[in-house]
Amino acid sequence: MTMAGELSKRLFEVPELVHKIWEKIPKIEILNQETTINVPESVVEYSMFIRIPSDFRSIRKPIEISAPSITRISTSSLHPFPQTIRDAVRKGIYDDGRVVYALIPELLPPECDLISMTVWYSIAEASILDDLVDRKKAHEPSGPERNEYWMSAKLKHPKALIEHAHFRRFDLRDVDVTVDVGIHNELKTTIPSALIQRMKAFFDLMAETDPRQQFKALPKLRQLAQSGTAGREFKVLVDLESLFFPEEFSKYVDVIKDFRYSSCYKGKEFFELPIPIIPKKMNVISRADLTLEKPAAEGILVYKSSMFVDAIKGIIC
Amino acid sequence: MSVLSISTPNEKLQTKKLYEPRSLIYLPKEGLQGEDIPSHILWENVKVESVQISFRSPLRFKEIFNAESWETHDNEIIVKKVELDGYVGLSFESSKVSDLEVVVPVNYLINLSDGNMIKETKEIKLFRPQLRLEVQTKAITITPKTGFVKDRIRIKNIGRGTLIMHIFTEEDSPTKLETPLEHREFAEKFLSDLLEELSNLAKKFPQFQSILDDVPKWETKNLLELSDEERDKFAEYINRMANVLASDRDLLQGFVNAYGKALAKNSELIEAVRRVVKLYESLVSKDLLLINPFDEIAVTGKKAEITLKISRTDKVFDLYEDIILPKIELTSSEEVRVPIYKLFEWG
Repeated sequence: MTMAGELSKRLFEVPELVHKIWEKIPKIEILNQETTINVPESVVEYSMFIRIPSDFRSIRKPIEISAPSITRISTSSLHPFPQTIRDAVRKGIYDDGRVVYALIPELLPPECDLISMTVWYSIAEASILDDLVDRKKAHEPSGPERNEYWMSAKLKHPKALIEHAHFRRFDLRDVDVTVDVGIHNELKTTIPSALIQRMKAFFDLMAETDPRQQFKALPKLRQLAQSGTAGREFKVLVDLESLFFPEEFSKYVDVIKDFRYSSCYKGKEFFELPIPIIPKKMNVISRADLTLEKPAAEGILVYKSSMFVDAIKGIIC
Repeated sequence: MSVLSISTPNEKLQTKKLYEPRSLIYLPKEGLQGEDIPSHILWENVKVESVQISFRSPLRFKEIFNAESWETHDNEIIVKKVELDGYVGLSFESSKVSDLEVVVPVNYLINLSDGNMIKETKEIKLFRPQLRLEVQTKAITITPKTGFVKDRIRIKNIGRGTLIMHIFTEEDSPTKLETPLEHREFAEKFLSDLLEELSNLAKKFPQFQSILDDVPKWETKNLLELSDEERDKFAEYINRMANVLASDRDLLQGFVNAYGKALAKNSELIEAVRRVVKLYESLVSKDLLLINPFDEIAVTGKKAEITLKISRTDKVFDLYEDIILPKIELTSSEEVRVPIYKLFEWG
C-alpha cells in the first residue's frame, strides 16, 4: 500500500467501520459521504446520508457503533421534514467498559425516508496533518516595506483521500501555519537607550542591600528622579509587556488572501535563555481551509511594524 | 418564453464567469536563500494535457503533489497526467550563492487539449545575510569605571535577513570567554522547572509527549555546534513543536502557561528588569542576533589576550564559514569584566 493509502486508512478507520455496519442493513442505500477535519480541535466530522426503507423503524435491534476515538454521534431526518432527532442515538457502556452509540430505529419519525448520521471522532496523531498537507512559510519578511511573510498550504495526495473513502466532499478546516515575526529591530530602534540606562541604574540601586551603599547612591537617585520617566519605569515595562498579549499584538498583524489570523504567542529562540516581559519575536498562527475543489492556499501575513513602533513610542513618551 | 430568457443579464454574466477558463499560478516573490519555496498551479474549466515547469539554480526540484505521471530533468519538470484534475503542487529547495541577491525566473507552460497553451513566467528574488567585520586595531582599551571600550571591532550585516551569531574563543586563545554563574544557574533551574511543568502538560495532552521527550536534548545544545544531520533534526523539531502547539488551542495555552510559570519561579521582578535591560543591550544591531551576549572576558592582570571565533547561522539554520579574528590585546587600568558584545561596534 502506498504512503497516501496508508494515511487514508489510518485517518478513515472510523468512517470505514460505520460504513460497514450500515452496509449490512438490508434495503438501505448510502447516498453520500462527507468528511471535515477540524485541525485545531483534532476532530474529524464524518457524515453519511442514507435512504431508509419504510419498514426501517420495525428493526428491533439497535444499530451499534463503538470505537475508542468516537466522541459523539447524532442523527437527523432530512426528508420529508428536516429535523435533528436527539433521542434516536443513545450512548451506553458495554460490560467490558467500551463506550457504544446505539441508533434505535423505532425512534425515528414514521414518515422519514432519508436520514443523515454524523460521527465525530478525535485524531490522536499530531503528525497526521503533516502527512496530509505540505505547509511552507517565509522565514524572513519580504515585500516593499519588508514586513510581509508568505504562507502556503496544499494537499499532498488529494486523490488518495477520495479513492479510499469515496467521499464526495472532503474539507480540511483551519490548517495552521506558524510564522515567526521578528520584532527585535523595532525594539532596538524605538526604545531610547537613555531610558534603558536610567532603568538599569534605578533597579541596580533598588537591588542594593548594603545601607552604606544605598546612602552613597542617594545623589544618583535624586538625579534620576528629575528624568522624564522617573517613577514610571515599572509602568513603562508593564505597558510594554502588554503589547505582546495576543489580543493586543493581533492589532499589528493583518493576514490576507486564503489565510486568516488565528492567535499568537511570545516566541523564544530555542538556543537562548528566555527573557521575561519582552520577547524578540512573536509566533503568529494563521489558518486556511483546504478542500478537494481548492486543494492549495496562499496567504500573506503583514506585520504592521510602523504601527507597532508608534505603540512603543506612545508608551515611552 | 424560452428558458434562457429567465436569466437576467447579470445572472448570465455570472454563469458565463462560472464557466470561464481560469488558471492561477503561485510562487512567492522573495525568499531566503536556503529555504524551501512552495509553488502551485490551479485551473478550472480547461482540459489540461500537460504542464511544464522550468527553472534554474539555485532552485532545485524537491517534491511534487497530485501528479500521476511526471518526469524531471535537470531544471525542468514535465507533468503528463495529474491525479485529481485542476491542481499541481510543487516544492523547490533553494541554496546559498555568492551573490547577496539573485533573481530566478520560473517558467510555467500549461498545454491544453485544444492545442492552446497558458504561458507565464514568475520570478523569485532569493537573498541572504552577510557579515562585514573590520578590526581597526589589535589593541583595545577598556575604561573600568565607565565600561567604555575604545577602538572596538566594527561589525555589520550588509546583506538581507537575520544573522544569528555565537562568539567563541579559539582553543589556543590565552583568555577564554566565561558565562556568568548567574546565567548558568538560571539556565539549569529554568530548564528543570520547565520540564516539570511540561510533563504535567503531557499528561493532559498525550500528543505532546513525543515533543517533550526531545526538549532536554535540544534545549541544552548549542545550535552552532551541531552537525548537518543534527541541524536538520533540530529544524524538524522546531517545526514539529510549532505544529503540535497550533494543533490544539488548549495545549497552546497550557504551553504558554508552563513557560510563564517556569519563568516566574526563577525571576524576581528586579531580576526580570535586569534581563530586559540586558536584552535591549544585546539587540546589537539591525538583523544581527547574538546568542551569547552576556558571556564575559575577565581582564585580570590589566592585560588579556584573546582570539575570537565567530560562528553564524540564519533563520533556516544554514551554517556560514567561521570567522577567526586576529589575536587582540585588551588593556585596562584595573581588573574588569567585559561582556563580549561591548567589544564590537555594531553597525
